[in-house]
Amino acid sequence: MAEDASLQGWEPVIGPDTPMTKVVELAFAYRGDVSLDMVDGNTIVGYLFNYQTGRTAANDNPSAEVIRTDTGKRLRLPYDQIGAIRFTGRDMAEGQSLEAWQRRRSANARAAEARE
Amino acid sequence: MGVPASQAWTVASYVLKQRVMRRERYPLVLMLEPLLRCNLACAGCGKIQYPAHILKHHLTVEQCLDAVEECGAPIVSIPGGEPLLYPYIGELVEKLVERKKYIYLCTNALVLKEKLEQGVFKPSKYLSFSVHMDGLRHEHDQSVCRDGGYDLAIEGIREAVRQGFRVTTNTTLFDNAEPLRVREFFDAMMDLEVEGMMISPGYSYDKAPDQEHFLGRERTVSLFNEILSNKKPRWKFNQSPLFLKFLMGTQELECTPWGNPLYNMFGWQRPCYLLQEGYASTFKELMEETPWEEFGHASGNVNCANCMVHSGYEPTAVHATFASLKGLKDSAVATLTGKV
Repeated sequence: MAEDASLQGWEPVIGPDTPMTKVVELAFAYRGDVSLDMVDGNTIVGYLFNYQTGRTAANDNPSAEVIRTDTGKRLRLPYDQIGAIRFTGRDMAEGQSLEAWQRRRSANARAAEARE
Repeated sequence: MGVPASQAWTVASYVLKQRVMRRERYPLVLMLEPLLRCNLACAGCGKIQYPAHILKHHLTVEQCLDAVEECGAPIVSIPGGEPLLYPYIGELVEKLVERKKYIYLCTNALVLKEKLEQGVFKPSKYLSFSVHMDGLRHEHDQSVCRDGGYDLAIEGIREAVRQGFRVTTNTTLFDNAEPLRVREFFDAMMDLEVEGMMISPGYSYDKAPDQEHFLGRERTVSLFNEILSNKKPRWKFNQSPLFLKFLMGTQELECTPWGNPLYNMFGWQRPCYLLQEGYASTFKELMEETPWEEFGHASGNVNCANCMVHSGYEPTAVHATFASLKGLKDSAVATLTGKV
C-alpha cells in the first residue's frame, strides 16, 4: 500500500507484520470512523481519537479512546480487548484536493460563460 | 505599535512572574477550539477533515472556561473550525472578558458582519477579531477555495472597525506568494484601519489537501526578506518584532512547543498546535508527561524541520524579549523605529 494511499476499506489481520500497536496508530491518523471487533464478540463503530501507549505514569495500560458514532459516548478500550480494527468509515481527508476545487471552479466558470 | 500597551503590560508582567517563580515551561496563549466545524474547506488546512458526528459536536462553555482556568495563560486564541459557528460564542467571549483574558477570535469573517449586526459581541479592549486573510482577492479566494470569500471578509472587517472593535488580520503564506502582491495586500489591510497584522509561513499538515505549496526554511527566510525588507512605516504587526526578525533569518529562535497549548473536544493536544500525536486529559499531564525534547527544530524531528510557524516561535520571541536586556532593547528598537 502506498504511503499516502487512503486506508478506507482496509481490514488488517493482526499479526507480526501488523501488530495492534501499529494498527491503532494508523486508525488514530485516519480521518474516518473505524469498526472495532472486540474479543467478546461485540463491534463498536466510532472515531478513534486518542491512544495511550501505556508508557506514562497516568496510564500504564495501552488503550485506545473512541467516540461512538451512534451515541457520541467516549470509550477507553484496552488493546487486549480489541480483536481487530476495520477502516469502514469514509476517509474525510481524501478527494478534497486544491486541484479538485480548481477543476470545479473552471467548470463553473465555463458553464457561466456558456449561459451568457 | 500593533499591540496595545495594556496587553503588552499584561504579557510582560505574566512572563516576568513566571521567571521570578523559575517556571521552566509555561503557556503564553491558550488555543481554544470550541468546535471543529467550519464553513470553508481551505486548501492549506488539515484541521477540519472529520466524520459528520465529530463535526456536529462542540465543547460546552463550562468546558472552555475550565480549560482557560487550568491553563492560566493570559491570552486566549479561539480558532477552530470557525468559532462564529459556535452557538455560545457570545457567552464565551463575555465570560473571558470578565476574567480579563485577552482574546483573539480567529475567524474567516464570512458571517462576521451578520453576527455584529445581531449584537452578539460588545467592543472591549480584551477582544480582537483576528480575521483570516491570505492575500488580495485572487490569492485569498484561491487559498480558501471559495469565490467571494475575500469580499465577505472585507465587509466583516469594515463593520467591526466601524463598531469600534479591535481587528487584526492573520495571514498564512505559502511558496506561491508573490512578495509585491503581499506588500500591496498589507497596504490594503492598513487602509481598512485594522490594528495590526499577523503573518506566518504555513505548516504542512499531513491532512491538508494542498501539499505542494508549503515552505521550507530557506525559502521562508528568502520570501519574508523580500516582503519585509524596506518595510513601510505604516504597516503594523500584531506580533513580536523578534519573530519577524526570525522569519527574515536575522534572529535565532528555537521552538517552544508548549507555548501555545491547544484544547479541543479530544483533550489537550500533544505536543503542539500543529502536530497531532495524541491527547492528554489534563493540562498538567500535557506539561509533565510530554517528551518535549523530541520536538522543535533542534531535536532533529523531521516533522519540525521546516516549521517556522508563529504558534511555536512567537512564545520564544516573547520569552527572549524579557530574558535579557539585549532582547528587550532589540524589541524596543524594532517597535519604536518600525524596522525589523
